[in-house]
Amino acid sequence: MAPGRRRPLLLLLWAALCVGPGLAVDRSNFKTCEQSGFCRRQRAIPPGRSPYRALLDSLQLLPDAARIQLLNEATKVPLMLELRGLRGNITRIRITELNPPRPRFEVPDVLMDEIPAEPLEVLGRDGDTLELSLGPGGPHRLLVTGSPFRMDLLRGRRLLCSVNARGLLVFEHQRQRPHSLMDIGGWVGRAWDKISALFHRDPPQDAPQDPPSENGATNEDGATGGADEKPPDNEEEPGAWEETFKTHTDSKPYGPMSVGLDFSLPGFEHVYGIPEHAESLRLRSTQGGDPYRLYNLDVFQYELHTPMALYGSVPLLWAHGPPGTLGIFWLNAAETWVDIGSNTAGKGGGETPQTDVRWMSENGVLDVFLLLGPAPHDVARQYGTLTGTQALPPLFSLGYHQSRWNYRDEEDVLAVERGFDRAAVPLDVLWLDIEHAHGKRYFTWDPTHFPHPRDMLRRLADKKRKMVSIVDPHIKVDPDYRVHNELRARGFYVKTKDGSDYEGWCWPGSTAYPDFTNPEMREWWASMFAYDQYEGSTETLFTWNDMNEPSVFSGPEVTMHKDARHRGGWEHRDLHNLYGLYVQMATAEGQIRRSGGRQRPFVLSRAFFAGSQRYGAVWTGDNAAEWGHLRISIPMCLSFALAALSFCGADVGGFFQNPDTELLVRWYQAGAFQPFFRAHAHLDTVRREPWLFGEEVAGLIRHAVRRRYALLPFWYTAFYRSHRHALPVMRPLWMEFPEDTATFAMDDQYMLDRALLVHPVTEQGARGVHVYLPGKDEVWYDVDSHQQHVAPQTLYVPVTLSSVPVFQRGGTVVPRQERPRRSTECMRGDPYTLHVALSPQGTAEGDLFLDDGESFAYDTERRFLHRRFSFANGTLTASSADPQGSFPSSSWLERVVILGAPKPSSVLLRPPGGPETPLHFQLEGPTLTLRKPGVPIGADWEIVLR
Amino acid sequence: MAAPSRARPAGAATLKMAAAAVRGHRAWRDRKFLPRRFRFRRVDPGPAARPPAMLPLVMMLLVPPVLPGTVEVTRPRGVSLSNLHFYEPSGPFTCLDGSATISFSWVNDDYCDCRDGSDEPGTAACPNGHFHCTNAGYRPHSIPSAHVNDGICDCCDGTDEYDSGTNCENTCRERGRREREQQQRLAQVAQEGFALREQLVREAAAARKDKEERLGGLQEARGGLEQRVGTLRAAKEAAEGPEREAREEQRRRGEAEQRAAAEAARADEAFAELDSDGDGQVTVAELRLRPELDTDGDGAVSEDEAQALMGDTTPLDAAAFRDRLWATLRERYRPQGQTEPPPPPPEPPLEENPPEEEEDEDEAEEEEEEEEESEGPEEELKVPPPQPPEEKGGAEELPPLDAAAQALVDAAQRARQELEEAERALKETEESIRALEQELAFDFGPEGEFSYLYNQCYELGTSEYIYRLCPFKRVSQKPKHGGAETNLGTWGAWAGPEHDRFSTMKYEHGTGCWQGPNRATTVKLSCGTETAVTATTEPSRCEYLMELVTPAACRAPPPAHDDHDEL
Repeated sequence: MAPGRRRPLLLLLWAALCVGPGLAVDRSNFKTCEQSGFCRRQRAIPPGRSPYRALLDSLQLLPDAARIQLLNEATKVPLMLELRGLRGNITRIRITELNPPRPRFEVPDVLMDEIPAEPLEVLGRDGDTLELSLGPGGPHRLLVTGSPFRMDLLRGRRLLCSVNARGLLVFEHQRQRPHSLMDIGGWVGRAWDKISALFHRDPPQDAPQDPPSENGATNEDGATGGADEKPPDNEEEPGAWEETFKTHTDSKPYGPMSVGLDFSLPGFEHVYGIPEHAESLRLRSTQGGDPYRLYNLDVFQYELHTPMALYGSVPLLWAHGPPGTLGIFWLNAAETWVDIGSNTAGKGGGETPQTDVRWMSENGVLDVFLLLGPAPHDVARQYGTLTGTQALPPLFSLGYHQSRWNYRDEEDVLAVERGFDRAAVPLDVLWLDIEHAHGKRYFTWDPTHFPHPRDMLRRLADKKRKMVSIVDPHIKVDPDYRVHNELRARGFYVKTKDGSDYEGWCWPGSTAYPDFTNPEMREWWASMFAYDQYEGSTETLFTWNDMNEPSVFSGPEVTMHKDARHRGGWEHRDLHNLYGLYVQMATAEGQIRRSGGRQRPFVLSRAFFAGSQRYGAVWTGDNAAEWGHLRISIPMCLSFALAALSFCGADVGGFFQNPDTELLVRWYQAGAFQPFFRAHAHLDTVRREPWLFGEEVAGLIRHAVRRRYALLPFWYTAFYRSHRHALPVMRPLWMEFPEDTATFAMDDQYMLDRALLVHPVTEQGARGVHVYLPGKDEVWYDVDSHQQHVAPQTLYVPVTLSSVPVFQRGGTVVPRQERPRRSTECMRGDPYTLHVALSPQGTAEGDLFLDDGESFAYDTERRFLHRRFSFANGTLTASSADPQGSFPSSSWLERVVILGAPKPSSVLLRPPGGPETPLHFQLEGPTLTLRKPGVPIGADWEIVLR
Repeated sequence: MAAPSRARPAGAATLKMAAAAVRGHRAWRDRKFLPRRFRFRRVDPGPAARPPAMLPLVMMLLVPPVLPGTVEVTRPRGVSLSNLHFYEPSGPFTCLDGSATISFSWVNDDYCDCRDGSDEPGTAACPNGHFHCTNAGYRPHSIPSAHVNDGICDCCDGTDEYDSGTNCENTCRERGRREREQQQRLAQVAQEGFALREQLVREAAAARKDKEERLGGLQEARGGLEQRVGTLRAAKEAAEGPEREAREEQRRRGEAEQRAAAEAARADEAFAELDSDGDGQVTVAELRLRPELDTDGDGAVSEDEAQALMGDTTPLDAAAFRDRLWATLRERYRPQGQTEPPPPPPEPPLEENPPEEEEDEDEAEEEEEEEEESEGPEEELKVPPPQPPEEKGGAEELPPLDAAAQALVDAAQRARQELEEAERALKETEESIRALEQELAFDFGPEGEFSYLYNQCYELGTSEYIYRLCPFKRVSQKPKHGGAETNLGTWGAWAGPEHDRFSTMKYEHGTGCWQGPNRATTVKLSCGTETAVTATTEPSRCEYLMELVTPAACRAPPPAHDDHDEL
């Protein structure tokens, strides 16, 4: 039995014990489903009584889509169902109002270029059911049933997914406000037209209008099933036209507009994804509790294992099981709740297991992409096709980052930097939190503590190190602050429902919020990163976007009022979850532009949405120095990874509170094997730079960080793969071992790329860990002892304080650079070591990507090397994995370590066209080390063991 | 050195090999990163070039030192002169830890063979190796191998960046000069500071002696004072007995007089009322108007009855009425309009004040305790001298004392005063003893050199705060622009490392931080000719660091400065 199986119970117990004295979120600040009007309304709908009917005769087959009208039998409001079969096994389902009185919000800037759609074909019609093929010749078919409306998606003869099988489709059509309020509502709408016209050069093309009367005549919420009664149900319901939470009233001028839909997944027991939640990798059934919530929020001192919303949202859910792997991408940026039901939860089994998923969003249209796999890698690629892949990080950003709220002044910064050299701990980036700016006016420097930022940056750059400064999206309202004045003068701030600049309270005091949904505003924001605009900045200064949910201390749920207005007259409720993505997008764009389009940006963001992977890194926000928070960092980053956010990390050491040295060391060890590796701490914690706890602790941390640096070529190559092929860097075991059911719920260990299995020690006082080594007839090698272990098995690994159990999969090659330099830049040109771990068949395969580590030349000029190393028949062969690339690297091959090879009698190096040269080698236990082949890393060669 | 372009004639043969080896490694280096001097030497451009394995593996990079005026010695790169004898090109090389023996051609061949890294003193190949910079003109220095050819100039002679394309200026001379100047300055400071320290030590010794003597004197005086207090207390108690009696007598007399006066006043009132015609005399007729004076119970006052009351004399004037008739009438007389007998005169209020003297003593003791806690002679919270016992509660109403009684009272008062003075003197002496004992018990350094800091305070202003250090007492911080002072810690202990305990002071248990520890301050001491706080920072939340320069921290300067570099 895998140890992972026992873990959730233990964690729950632990969490229960810790709720009392430990840190705890103030739950009353955040809505439950019951307190969120549309969630309450939708959840109250009983299943199995769908009022929707598909008018199959209305079928229209277009070259790239099929259209069918849906009718709500109760309200008679017609909807339009649009089906597309996109190339690569993606099915898109859209439902909109057929005659919307006012356009509904459709999420922009998330999807990549239009994916070509395959022509759909009617395969047949059987009474009330229509059969469509999703792409010619493909295995996928869709059965559309008329009444009640439902759809069943089949692969061959297997049912993969049913849509509206439980009859929970909800589409709250736009309606007229009840009479008593109608006039006022109409007036507000017209007034808004005028006000917004004043603030925008282009009058909003989609300004609200009074709904046409024929739609307004019937007012029932169809989903309630009420037939002909006149008093409309949901308008009687409090909260339909106005909602109050705590002291905040949401005016809801357009009334209820929520959408919802259910999906049944027969044969699936495991679902994942929909970050961000402080939750195990496998999502739990939400029956009897709140649904998982997606609504970007600044949650102070968040708790573990709750479905509460956190800083970011990606509405992508994965299902994995015997039928294969499936993704459901619910493209909606409004507040969203996701219910998970399971017919095996708490039961002995017997019937076919099934997972039911139900999505509910406050606004917008219903736009769903079914990613049909069939394998985990396929779903990852399909999602990558839709929303893009991980931006290739500048190499330095894969190194170690040292942050703290706050490094006080320039002297402090330089002293810490020197400290790292003295302690011989590698370091790439030092971070400055909000105190560095003058009165929290971002883009400025505190004149007392940071009077000479360029000098400071130059001194760091002399040591091949970078800096990150924080630039938050809340702008101090201060007539002496240029950034504020420009934003105000240009009308770039988010507006209140009454048209004035929306102001709230945040770190600097009274603040306003740039409207990042406005491309002109983003353009301007990007221009602020020019070296002459952001005074004191240099090409080695990068950016951290915090508080971009957005956090509004004075707002409902610590965020922006939903009735605030964005460009085009859209309400904040329409696009809340997108705001943070736009902030990071505009910031990354600014960094690209300041370099004339040449250099890759680095921007860390706390809030995110689908597509944020294209702009940089994300982290798990303000965690705490607790063992539970260390443990949760793994499933959280795995969930991020499933949502294509490969560049994920958690604050090493924990943000709130003070870790003891054991926790600190364990966190460094775990963090060194997570993609974004940054230590960070709260203002009120005691200092915790690695050398402050004595030489033993410093040594352990040094060792952990150096391991990270030695593996940087491997990390960088994995990121390149993520960038090119949408495969996550950090992966759940089941992505690599999709057949092995023992791995499906495991989240205390994971894969890095396809080669390394990592099981960090995350238990206090641990003396050993149980590591599950998956893979039928495979072998694994302990990367420290090089000892070989057969799989599958659960291996007990005794640990000391210096142990980080990591295993290399037999059949892989891992490139390393083993000289313990001060920073990544210092490693440029260093030679490589290849760790070749042989499969039982005596083969291995691996690759290495390298370029200048900082520019777009790999893309624009193909200046890169992508090398392939393969071992078979006693011969290790280096060849090009991508002949399009070329890059003049001075690096060479220092060493080859072969694990699992028999002792050869001789080893020969065969350079291309050159004479064979014997290589010195040494066999120590299971390790064969080939001494100094010395060939350039970009060259083709062979090494033959005899 | 050893970049081919900088090759000097010395050791030309070996340098040729070195150059070839370097070229081998350089061949695939990106043109962009290649310094100009290499570009001309590139032989094999592009990745198709022959790999370095094909080139001679011998990479014994010999360095001719660039020290003018000394004998040139060649040695493998990165080896210190003292280790040179381990690197003998004629034979195999044995790792300094004995872990392996390798061909000498593997020394500095950019591949790590020895566990201790000793085979690669001149390359970055070994994770635990060291590179020796000669740094002619400055100090020789050893850097981690990982700093070799990493693009950062670590050696002031630039020898660590011989193959990274980084052009390092040789700054050794400049550094040497600066260091010598600095050393000279420091030496001068150290010398002057040490002289001052010696003086401080002498003064401390003298002051200590003085204090010890004073302590002895005070301790002696305390005995006498204690005795005196005993004697005076007995005398005071003895004198207070008669005083109490005299006071009692005085009080009794006073009360009697007061009563008589009250009676007279009542009589006068009665007279005024009885004298209904207002002629200043009370007559029989007037008495008859008062039925309450009826003596025989018939409800009326007959002339006889009135006459009998009046006695012989009639009419009576006020004085006579008071003296003779009032005693007879007073029981029966009712003032006009009043049927009930008058309420008895209100009792004089009870003496609520506890004895003054005792209270004063209590207060004094409390304050004394507080003072002990605060240990702050600089906080001159002097005990107010006990007030002389005040005669409270109508002293002026009391009749004057007669001479004898007055003498008794005066004597007691004197006895009290003398006791108080003696007690105060004793207390002061005890305080002085305590303070002296405390001061003498303090660890002011091995020679008492820090004792002069006691009872002093030093301040440093930053942009926001004024920091105040009162050594051996407390550290505080006061906002410049108003606001309360914050305690950054009270004296804890010397906290330097074992061999240098007096280099650091620790002040602890200051004002608590929100969600954090109590504030604490570490004070680092360094040698200077003056005493001043030179810097203060808050390296961690609520943990302060202060720097104090003081001559007391100066060490004896070395007898003569040795300005001799290696080589």
